[in-house]
Amino acid sequence: MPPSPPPGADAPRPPRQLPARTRHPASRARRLTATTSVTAMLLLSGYLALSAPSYAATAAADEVAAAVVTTVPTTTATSTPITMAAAPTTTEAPTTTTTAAVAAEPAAQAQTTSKGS
Amino acid sequence: MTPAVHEIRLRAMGSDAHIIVVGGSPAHLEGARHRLADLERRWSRFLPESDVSRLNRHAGRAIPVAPDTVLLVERAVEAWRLTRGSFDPTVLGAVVGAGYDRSFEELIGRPGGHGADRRAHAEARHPSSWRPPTASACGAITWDRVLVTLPAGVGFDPGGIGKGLAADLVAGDVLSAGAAGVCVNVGGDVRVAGTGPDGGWTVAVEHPWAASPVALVGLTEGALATSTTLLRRWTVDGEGAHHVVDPATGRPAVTSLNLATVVAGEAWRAEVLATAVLLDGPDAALDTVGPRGAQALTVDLDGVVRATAGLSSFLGGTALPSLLTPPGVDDLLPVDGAPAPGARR
Repeated sequence: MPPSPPPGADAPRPPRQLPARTRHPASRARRLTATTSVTAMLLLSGYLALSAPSYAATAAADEVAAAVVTTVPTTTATSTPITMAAAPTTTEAPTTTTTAAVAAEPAAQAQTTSKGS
Repeated sequence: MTPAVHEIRLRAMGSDAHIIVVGGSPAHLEGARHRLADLERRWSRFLPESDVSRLNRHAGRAIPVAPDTVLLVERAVEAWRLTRGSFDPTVLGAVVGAGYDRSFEELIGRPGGHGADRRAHAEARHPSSWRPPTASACGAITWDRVLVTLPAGVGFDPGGIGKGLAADLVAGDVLSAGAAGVCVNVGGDVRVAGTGPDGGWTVAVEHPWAASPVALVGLTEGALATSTTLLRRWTVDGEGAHHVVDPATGRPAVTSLNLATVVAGEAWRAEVLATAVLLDGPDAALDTVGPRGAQALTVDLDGVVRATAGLSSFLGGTALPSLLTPPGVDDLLPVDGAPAPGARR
């Protein structure tokens, strides 16, 4: 006689316990997505870093320079733009004085000439 | 022992330039020449990559420029205040509107344009395309150590102040490099400092109507500049124009003077004050330069020569001519090749 099957062998078995990491497929998908995103960002930033010089070279030189200068903290943090007042009126006192020239005895022959411009 | 004297004459900033070094070497001259060329590269509005061209192209935005250019902008705004608006670096639109949209060498060479206007010097015509400027935008220019921002839609024209300031800067450099004395003349904006060839320095003031200098000005230290409506003239479509724009009208100035010379401590101040005197007229000259310790010489349209009282101390007792004779029609040169309207042959 063949051996009898163990009791309950044909009975429905409870579902097998899934490994922890597969018990929540959505979580895994999120992790995979996050990993992929980080990788992509790293690759992208690396690409941008590598490609930046060529990109900058094609941009207008002064625009690139402006961007560089304006991001230097010491430049923008320590300098204060000077805004002058409105247009001067004829009654406004002069804000500066001219340092007078010092006279000398002119020679008979000039060294240079001022014809005007 | 007499100190060595070295000098060069060259073209710079669209003008004749002359540099004299006393007690130095040819290396000082070469350094001065390079410095002048560098300033022109930064300040010319006819070079597309100059600081000034970039500022004009990007008006409304903060643009990084060389420290010398920041100084130029700072001095130009100061000059605007010093002259109560008679000097205004934001009249570029009017200057271009008057036809001065390229270097003077190119201007006189283009079809329909000539540097020498054969008509009477007092004639002033204004093409209908010229428009008076709105209120000056000078007060809205901002800057810091490395950035300059022009108001949107505003153009900056260094004009004469660039030549004067260049003379000041180059003279300072040459002295700092060890020379005993220096004279830098850029288009008639003259700065002297240190020992002159004869102890002091002597600068001749010339007028196109006079065969000999109107004055010989003696300087130990300081500057002299001349502004005139008789040079840098041109015609556009048959209309006469000159480069001295009146900020009040936005048009080439209609003034009772045809030449103004100012003696001051620095060339940039002398230049802008000379422009202001030219615009303000002989009666206002004393008020314009007097409180600022400067001296002025003027020649009006009839050839009458006037000067502030203090100028005599720079003339060594020599009297000024009281009257220069305007040239007759027969004295005028043909347009082609003429150095200036009203110039004597």
